[in-house]
Amino acid sequence: MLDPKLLGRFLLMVWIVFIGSIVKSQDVSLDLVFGQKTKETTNQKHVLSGFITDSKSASVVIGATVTDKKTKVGTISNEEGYFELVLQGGKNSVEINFLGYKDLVITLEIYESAELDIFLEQADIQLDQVTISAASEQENITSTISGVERLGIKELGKRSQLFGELDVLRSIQTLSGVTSVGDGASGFNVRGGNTDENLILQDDGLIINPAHTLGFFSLFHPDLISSVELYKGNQPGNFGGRLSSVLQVNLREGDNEKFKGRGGVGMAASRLTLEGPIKKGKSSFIVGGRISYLDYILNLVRDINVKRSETLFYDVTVKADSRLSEKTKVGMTAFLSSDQFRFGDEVNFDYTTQYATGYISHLLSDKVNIKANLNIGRYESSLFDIQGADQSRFTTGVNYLRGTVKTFFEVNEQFTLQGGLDFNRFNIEPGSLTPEGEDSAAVPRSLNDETGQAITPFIQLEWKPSESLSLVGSFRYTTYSRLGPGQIATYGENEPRSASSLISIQQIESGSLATYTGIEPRLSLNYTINDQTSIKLGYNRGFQYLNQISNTASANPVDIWKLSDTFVRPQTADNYNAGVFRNFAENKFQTSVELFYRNQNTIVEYRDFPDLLLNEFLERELVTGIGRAYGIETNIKKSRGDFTFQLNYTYSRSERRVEESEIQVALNNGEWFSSNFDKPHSLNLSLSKKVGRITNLSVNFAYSTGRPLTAPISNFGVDNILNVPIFSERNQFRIPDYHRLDVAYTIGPFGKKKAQNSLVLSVFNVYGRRNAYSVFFRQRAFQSISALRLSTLGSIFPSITYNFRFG
Amino acid sequence: MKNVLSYSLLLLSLSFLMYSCIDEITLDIDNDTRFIIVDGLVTDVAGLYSVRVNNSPVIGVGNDNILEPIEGCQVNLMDNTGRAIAFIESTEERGTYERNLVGLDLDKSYHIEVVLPDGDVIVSEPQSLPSAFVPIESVDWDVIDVEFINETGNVATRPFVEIYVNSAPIENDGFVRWRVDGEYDIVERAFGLLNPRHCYVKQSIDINNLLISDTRDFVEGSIIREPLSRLPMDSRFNILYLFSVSQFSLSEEEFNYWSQIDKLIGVEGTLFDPPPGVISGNLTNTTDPSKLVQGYFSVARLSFVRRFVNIAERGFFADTDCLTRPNANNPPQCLDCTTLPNSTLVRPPYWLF
Repeated sequence: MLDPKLLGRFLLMVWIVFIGSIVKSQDVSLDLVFGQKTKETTNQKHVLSGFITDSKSASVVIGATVTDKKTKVGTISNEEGYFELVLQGGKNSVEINFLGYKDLVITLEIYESAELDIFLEQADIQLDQVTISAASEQENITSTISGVERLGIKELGKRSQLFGELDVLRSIQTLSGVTSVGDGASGFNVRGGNTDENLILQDDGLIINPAHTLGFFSLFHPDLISSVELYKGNQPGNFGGRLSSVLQVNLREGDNEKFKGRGGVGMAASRLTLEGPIKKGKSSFIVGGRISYLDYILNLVRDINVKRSETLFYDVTVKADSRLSEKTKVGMTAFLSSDQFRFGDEVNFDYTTQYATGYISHLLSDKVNIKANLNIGRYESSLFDIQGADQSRFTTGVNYLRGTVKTFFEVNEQFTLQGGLDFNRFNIEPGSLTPEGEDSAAVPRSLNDETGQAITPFIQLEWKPSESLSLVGSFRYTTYSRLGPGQIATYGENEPRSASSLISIQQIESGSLATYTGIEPRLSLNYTINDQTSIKLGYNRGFQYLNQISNTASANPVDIWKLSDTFVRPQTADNYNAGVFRNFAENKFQTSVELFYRNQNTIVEYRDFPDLLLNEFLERELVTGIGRAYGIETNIKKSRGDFTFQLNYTYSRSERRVEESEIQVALNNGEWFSSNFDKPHSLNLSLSKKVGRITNLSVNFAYSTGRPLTAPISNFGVDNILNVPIFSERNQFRIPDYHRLDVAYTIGPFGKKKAQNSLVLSVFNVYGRRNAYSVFFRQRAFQSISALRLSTLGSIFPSITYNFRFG
Repeated sequence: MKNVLSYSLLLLSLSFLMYSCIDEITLDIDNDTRFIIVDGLVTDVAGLYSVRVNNSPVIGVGNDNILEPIEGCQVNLMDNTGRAIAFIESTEERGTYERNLVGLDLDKSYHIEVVLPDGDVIVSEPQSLPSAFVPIESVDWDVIDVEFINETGNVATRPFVEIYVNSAPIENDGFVRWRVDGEYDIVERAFGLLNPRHCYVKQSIDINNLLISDTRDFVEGSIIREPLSRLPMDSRFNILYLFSVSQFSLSEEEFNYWSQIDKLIGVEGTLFDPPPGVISGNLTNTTDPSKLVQGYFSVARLSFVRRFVNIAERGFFADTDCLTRPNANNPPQCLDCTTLPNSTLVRPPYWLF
């Protein structure tokens, strides 16, 4: 006997594909009936559930919004594309949205819980613009957790066309509350947090440094991205270990029906992606790679320094997914990325990221889902000294093994429960020095590895007690251990840690050198005043055990990493946020005002004149203190129509305080001082206008206060040494303000349906502003110190990229 | 198509050259902070010692690398028994106060007290002579070839004379700083000169060359062939060159101070420069502690060695700058060697020949 549910699912799939192929309008409507209509079944509530997939590739669609048009209550498809929506018995209209896909409105009658798989058809998207997110226009009102950005790359890509390629890092830096220290920075700062306070995941794989070539490109291959989410306020309960934010980049699955490819040829780099079925309809693969070829260009330049320069990167991503059954799915992702950068004899470094992840997901029942994933990886960076007789290579590394098991259980219409276990093990290689070349006089040195692990069970409850109120609460209990082998130095009581106060060194071969435990409560609340207005509140506590220690004036790819231990306690922070969200003109205009405050109970700074490299007693160079960050973010956005825009302004401060104690000296006399990434004013404006049938013009402008700087305020001479600079207290001044205008013109798609092309013409930094990435100082003999500005993208930069797709 | 390709390559090359650049800028630093700079040294060896008192310049104002001497100060060296030795203001160098001392006592602690013309008093922290004394065992020299980029852009080599210092191991951790002075003799050589004279010329050859070391960095604390200074093997080595090496044994606090100075003057202006810091010496304005003072008053132990270098002994030869045939381009010292700065016709008593 034919199962009516299966029959309904099959008919719906056929219908949508059919309609999608002949209807050119954005909306598709359907009529379906589930169950028998009775008075009782009409008065009851029923659950509509199913998977949302791409109609062509059959890959899952993550983050699609499924909304009950009557009540405006919605849900979002999860990582498996699965959704569940509670509907009142009777006639309902359900709307499914995902940017880049045609909107779908299903009219159905429901009298029992039903399953419905939905196949979305892609809209006429431009080849170069993968649509990443797609929160519905009302999601800003209805979602419980504040500070979540589900980014549409189609929209944000218009703001980041350096080298004609979409860039996740540049895109998120146009969001309120997200900044960086400047062009060329190897990370980003969220709501006053350091770059190491962001948990960056690509398909559950941990990314330590998300940038290629000093930040010119981000590590994420644009043609592989399925969805991007940035949690800059409250973090969901399954994430932890970082204080500021979570950036989650999900890669799309390969097409499991037919072989196809896409790519792009640019002036600085090219990319290619191939995908297809492994077993038709069941499993698929997708392989993507990028490579830069600026090296070749540099060799054509006569300047000796440029000729002796190298800038090369490549990355390769391999992903495979297989649906073992209706309820079970497995997959894996492998990623390799490498960067080399050299400018004359002055700067030379390289870094590599490699990881592999695997997952299994199983639907235990209609209401229970379980997923497990495992991630193993390594980040390695090297800094070369290529001058003088001591030519050497200084290498550091971070190795990690991570795993998560989590279950999702829908208790009833009001309650949803998630729980699981999060495991992280890190092995840090703090540094090794090896001679480069046979004639090098450098003496090899190496520091012992550091190992630590954190085990964190978590639970999360989503509760919707009424139509207007929803809550998400989570609780994590984290246990961190710094594991042996390792040594514990003992210093004189109440004495500054130094060689002279060292009493003993105890070698521990196994077991724990230090253990810390802590609870991480989190709470988000949404009170929806009406379908156009809501108020959100949030609180979030976090612990962080992995610390980035920058050994230079500016953070860079070769910074060293340090695990918390007996001296460096875990960093902790309490984040508070509140926001008012208001939409106008039937959600055409979306506005918000959000406040945030962060109290950081432990921060790690370095003392003045630290020796950070190859120092087995790093605790002598570090001081601890407290931090705070606070600010207000305002947004206005129009995301519908031929003309769209987004304008946001943020006022925020990020400050630190290190007071004197028996064991450490104060910084800045124990007063509050600006952190390295304190940029009070930040403004971003993005405009986009469809100027023809297949052409689009976008303009972006960004402004922010210059970041803090420690600068010389005088100089003096002592004995035979002349012109010794006297520097100010830490971060007392600022580099010049940052502002930049970009323009991009996109033509396409054009060509045949099965072999489409597009062209992106872009001009980055239109008026050639020499924005400083860093300001540092040079002491010339017998002269006072001079300030030097490094502008990594200090001129107008035009680019042309040709994108193609076949299959 | 070829033209398009060529144009694209040119455009990209130019873009790359432009996109990443380092240029000098003037920072908008609203600051008129001035420091009183006090700098002096006394040791356990008898000699003439001096203390300099200056105002620091304001960055970006006038000639901002020139210190402004402070005249009319009262400078006293005090010991822990309350004994004061007054320094006398120099008539030759403004802001400099001098005194001949017979040497300091190991059992006492010393500090300097400077009374400024406005009445403010600056005092250094009391210090004793360091217990760890690192004497010079020997000073040696060698000729080395140093690479440089010549006018045609190729790598070439040039001979330099380099001197090294050796010290025997000591029991305790030792901290040292070196000063190296140079002196050479020159003989007048010019066509028709009947009675050529010898001049003895003193040189400051270690300006801005900070030489410090921690014996913990050496195997068994023994300083072996530590390079101190190098000079191009030019006409100064034509006859005889004298290196005078002063090795000061310091306290660990003073060594840390000089290490901070070393980091500050070592900034090269690159992305990988270490972060700067606030330097702290051992002087305080006791009248108004909020007034800023910089500098260091050093109490050190001294080991001193003279080392003559006669390159001919090792088969080397250095040309003179003077031609013995008629030549209008002969420098003036070829006719009159006293035209050289810091030169004298009086042969120093320690001169070898």
